[in-house]
Amino acid sequence: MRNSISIVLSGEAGQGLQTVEEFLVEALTQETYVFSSKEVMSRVRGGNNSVEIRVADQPIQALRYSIDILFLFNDHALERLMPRLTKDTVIYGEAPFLKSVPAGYKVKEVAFLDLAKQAGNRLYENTAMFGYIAGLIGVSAKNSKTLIRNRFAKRGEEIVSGNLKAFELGYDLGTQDPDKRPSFKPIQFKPKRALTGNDALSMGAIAGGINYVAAYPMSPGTALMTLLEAQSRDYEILVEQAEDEIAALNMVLGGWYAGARALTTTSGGGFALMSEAVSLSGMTETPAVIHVAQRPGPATGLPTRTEQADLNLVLYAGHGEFPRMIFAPGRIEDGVEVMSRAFYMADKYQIPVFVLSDQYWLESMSQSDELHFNPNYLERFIIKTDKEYKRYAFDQSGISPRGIPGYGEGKVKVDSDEHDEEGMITESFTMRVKMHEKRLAKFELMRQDIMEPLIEGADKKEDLVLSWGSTYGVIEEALATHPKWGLTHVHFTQVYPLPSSLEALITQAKTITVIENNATGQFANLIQMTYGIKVNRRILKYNGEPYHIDELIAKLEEQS
Amino acid sequence: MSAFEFNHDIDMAWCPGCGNFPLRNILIKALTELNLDPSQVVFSSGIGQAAKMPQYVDASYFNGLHGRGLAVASAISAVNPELTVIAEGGDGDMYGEGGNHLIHNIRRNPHLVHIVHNNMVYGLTKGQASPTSPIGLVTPIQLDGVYNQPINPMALALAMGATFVGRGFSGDQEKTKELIKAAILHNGYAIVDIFHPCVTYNKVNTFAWYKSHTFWLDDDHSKEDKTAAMKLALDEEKLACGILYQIESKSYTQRHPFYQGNTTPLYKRLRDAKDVAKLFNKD
Repeated sequence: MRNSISIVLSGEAGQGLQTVEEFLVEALTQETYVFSSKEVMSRVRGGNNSVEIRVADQPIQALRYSIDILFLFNDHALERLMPRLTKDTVIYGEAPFLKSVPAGYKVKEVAFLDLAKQAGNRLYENTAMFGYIAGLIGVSAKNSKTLIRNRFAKRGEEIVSGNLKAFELGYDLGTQDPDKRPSFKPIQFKPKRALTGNDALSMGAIAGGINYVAAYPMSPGTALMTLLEAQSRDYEILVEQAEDEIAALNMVLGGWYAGARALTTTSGGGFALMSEAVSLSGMTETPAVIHVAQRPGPATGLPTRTEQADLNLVLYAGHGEFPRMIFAPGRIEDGVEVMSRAFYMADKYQIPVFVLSDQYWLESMSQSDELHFNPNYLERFIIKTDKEYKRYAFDQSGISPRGIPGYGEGKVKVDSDEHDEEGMITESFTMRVKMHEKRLAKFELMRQDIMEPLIEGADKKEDLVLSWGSTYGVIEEALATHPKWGLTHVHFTQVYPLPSSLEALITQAKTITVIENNATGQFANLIQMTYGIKVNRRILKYNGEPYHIDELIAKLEEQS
Repeated sequence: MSAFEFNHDIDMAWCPGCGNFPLRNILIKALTELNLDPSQVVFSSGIGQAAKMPQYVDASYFNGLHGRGLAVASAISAVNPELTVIAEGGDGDMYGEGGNHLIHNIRRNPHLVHIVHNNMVYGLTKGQASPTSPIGLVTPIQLDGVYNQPINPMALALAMGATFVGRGFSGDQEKTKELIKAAILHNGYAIVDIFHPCVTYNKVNTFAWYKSHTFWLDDDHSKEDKTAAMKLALDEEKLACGILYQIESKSYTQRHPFYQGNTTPLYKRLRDAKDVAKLFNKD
């Protein structure tokens, strides 16, 4: 495990945990490595939510289970976190909040509210806490103050100076704390950009040319829609809240058909309603980009928690047989890459393309040195039609050139029934076979565009650890800090179709371990089916939380 | 020959004597008389005998899923306001499976025509009750007759605030054609419910039944009077045909902030990589 400290803020929804998180992460990302994530209850106000900010002197993208420093925001913020405390954990809070701490733990009273009042307003409490933590872990006051100025500038000088004062009062106390931590000062550190998975996906969608969104709100898929609406003025994006998920995907198909680059975003339950339209995309060869943000099921499950259990749903959704592509981002920059690539691939192959993320990945804040986008993904594959245009023409390329209505003199006839080249319904068995084979032949054409997995860790490539999507960061850290295990990490950001180039690696491996955030090992099953091998062990977690680094290391240690 | 007719024979999947045949003639005449260019007209339909109409009119179409024709049509008109968009299907398709899209697209007021062939029975699935089947209609599923209250699409559309509510009858071709033309010219969402007989499965609501139960509104009817329109819609003995209600209101694209000051269709707006770079190089 990399040298790090874990700071946890615990309180009710609406108490400002996220404000403190954003300030700290944004300040820290100028100076060192940081990663943060939150876990919340499914309610608008109240309950108990927590945020973990993990600071390190090397790159990290994983949470730690044990807590070094805990800040309580109320008198009922501790109970759920008890198992994560150690004898070294220091617990901070107002005097009344600390009464809930059992004997034997280190507690430290800080009157944040008094500091805020001293600064002029009780509303500055969170800024005072930010100041305290910044002082405690040695964050530069200068960077922090710039953030405060920027954040409150619009609200007037009084609020800016009040917050600055509250920060200073907190900061001074924090630096005087005998438990003050030495600050992390990695050598040759370049300030980085900190962003959430949702941020990365929205940037990727814009880089992929998105101009139409039709979606129905469902956690954790909604934030992407919100972020795209926020960019809709600058980037000409037409955003529509659909009446239900069935309408949403049908509208996305109508949008692509008429020349838009459209996206829908949802979670597993909402996506279940879209299955029929996925099949429609396959049959009509109308592109679609579908973001499925996973959360634990079945049914309503744990609405605000995380899981990787909808791979099978996305892989098999839709009746009949037709090609599709599925991406699952792991590193933060993967979010940009796969979302923009999704638009390009959907357009190029006229297929449904999925981006399969999860609550944990979407809502965590990670760092990136520089985010890149590929301008080639803006290429469009629409043709201007002539009078003789046939939507489903048997073309040499294997893909029928796609026209859109109103662009050219032709008519664009698209049908969910089996159809002939023109798009008219047919019941000819011969035509059925020809059309079906044309659609299915895209599986082969797509092979040239399959993303290769990331291969890291031991060079000998005998004992493999396979993973996909959001588990990248935690597995990377576990393996990188335990070279003695001799494990090679193979991480997939494209989970379907899988590359045939890996056949030798996988079939010749001595052991294969698959680590997933679900209960049955859906990806392990897909690997077995694809490569005709047996997965030796499955490490699975399905309580609604992501893997923690200390927990995963312990699991791998006991089995190695 | 109309530009919407094919220059070769087409095999139409309707029963001999089906009300869909006169409806096809009415539709082609309406489109032709409005001088519309077939390459600028798009149909969107679902599944059923009525939903096959786009197959037999030579224009663009998206023949998608049962019940979803209106959802797709709404998106087509949203991303390209320059097109003439017609969502077309039967009573089961549009009022049953697609009921939620009906309600919410009335709220949106998209610039499109919604034509519903209403023969009060299911055809392609072989004679079951539709949402508009009258109480007592005997079917293979409702052996003792339909016992659920039928939907009143005109009253529903009025209550939801539709800006054009019309009803026609395939037996009155000239008047129904004029009704469809008015609907196409309407700015915003126009629902046109069209009675027509199902000669195979509905032996109650026959051509003669429609003829004796319907009447056409004359100039005395004030189209802007919602109360009068609602009264007509609720009268299920004497069924009024014509434009029951029409008001001027901004359409979806006229209301949506996206199109303010620029009505260019989406496909003509290309994203510039330089603009994307600005997003990536921020802060």
